[in-house]
Amino acid sequence: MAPLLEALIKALADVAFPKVDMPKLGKHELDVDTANDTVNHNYLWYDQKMHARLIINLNKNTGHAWAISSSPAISL
Amino acid sequence: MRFVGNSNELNASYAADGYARANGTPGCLITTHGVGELSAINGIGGAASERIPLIHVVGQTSKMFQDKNVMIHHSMGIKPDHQIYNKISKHVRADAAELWNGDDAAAEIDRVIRECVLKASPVYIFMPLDLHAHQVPASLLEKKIDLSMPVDTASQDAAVAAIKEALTKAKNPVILLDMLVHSYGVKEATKLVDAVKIPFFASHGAKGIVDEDHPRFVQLYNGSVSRPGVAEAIEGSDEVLAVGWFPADTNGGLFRNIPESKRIDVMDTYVTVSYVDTRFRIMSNTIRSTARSTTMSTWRPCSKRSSKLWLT
Repeated sequence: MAPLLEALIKALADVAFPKVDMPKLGKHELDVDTANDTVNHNYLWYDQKMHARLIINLNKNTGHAWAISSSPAISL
Repeated sequence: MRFVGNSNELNASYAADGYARANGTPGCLITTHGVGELSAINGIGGAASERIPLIHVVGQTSKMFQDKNVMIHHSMGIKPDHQIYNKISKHVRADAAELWNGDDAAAEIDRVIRECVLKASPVYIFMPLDLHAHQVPASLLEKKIDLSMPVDTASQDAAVAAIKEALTKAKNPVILLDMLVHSYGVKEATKLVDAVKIPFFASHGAKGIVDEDHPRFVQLYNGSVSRPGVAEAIEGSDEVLAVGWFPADTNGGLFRNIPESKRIDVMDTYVTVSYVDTRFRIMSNTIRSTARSTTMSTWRPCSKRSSKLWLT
């Protein structure tokens, strides 16, 4: 594969491709559920279509936040 | 090489897998025979499935013990076959070196290391106790193993010309980098998306390979479970240059695959260009230098293309 890709890069070097507009993408519509205690704010987002969960934890005392996504399709 | 002790063989196989993925060079693990190699085989199987180069060295019982079917601990039956796990592992490896004598041991080791790298798949080195004190000349290490790909240049040139024709005729071509890029050409694939000024996507399995802040990077494509609009965007293209296509359910978003009719597949040993209805065999079909010990088949696409003209 690597030698072919090198050859392909050379072959396409002089090709001026017509400008292709970047596709317009939709947005996630996530159900948000929150569970708070005195220190932490936990947010659980669940996307029905993607079967994906996004969890964000905010610590009010330290200001730290972390997030975990169950799907790589959700960019953090 | 640096030795890293692991608490069990399965951990060692996954650690070696992770090393190979992170560094782009084979990971190596050493286990004992029998239960040791059996415990590791789950990790080896995972590497075989996702085309990760691993070298599994198995310390075996002596040839005399094996010939006499000595009932070593954890073996099976009264006259146990000490090669039982060697036989099982044939399904999850590209090749194996069985070192029964010292004369060809060094050459056999070099041979399977080459197979491991070229095929990006697990290989085994079985070393019986007899050989533990056998010495070979250190000068053998002065000659590097030939890791160059056996490319059929005429076929490759034809494939490149066909890809160029298909892409230049397309109205809105895109590039999709998929999982097998990880094993066969990360550096070249990233150069490709830099050089060719068209939008590109990465699959779920190719996450981490490309810079997602690149101005022409669109999104991760994962079929039906992609971010809204992504599947429609890539499927709306009239020519998809798919590099390292690996349409498993988890990678192709529940089998929502891009139609073959608008796909160019750049794979490890071949290229298919639907635009010219041709499949090009890029690598020699005899990468393996000997035929023994191998049953793992070459990776094939999910559908047959019986009408294709094969150029070899």
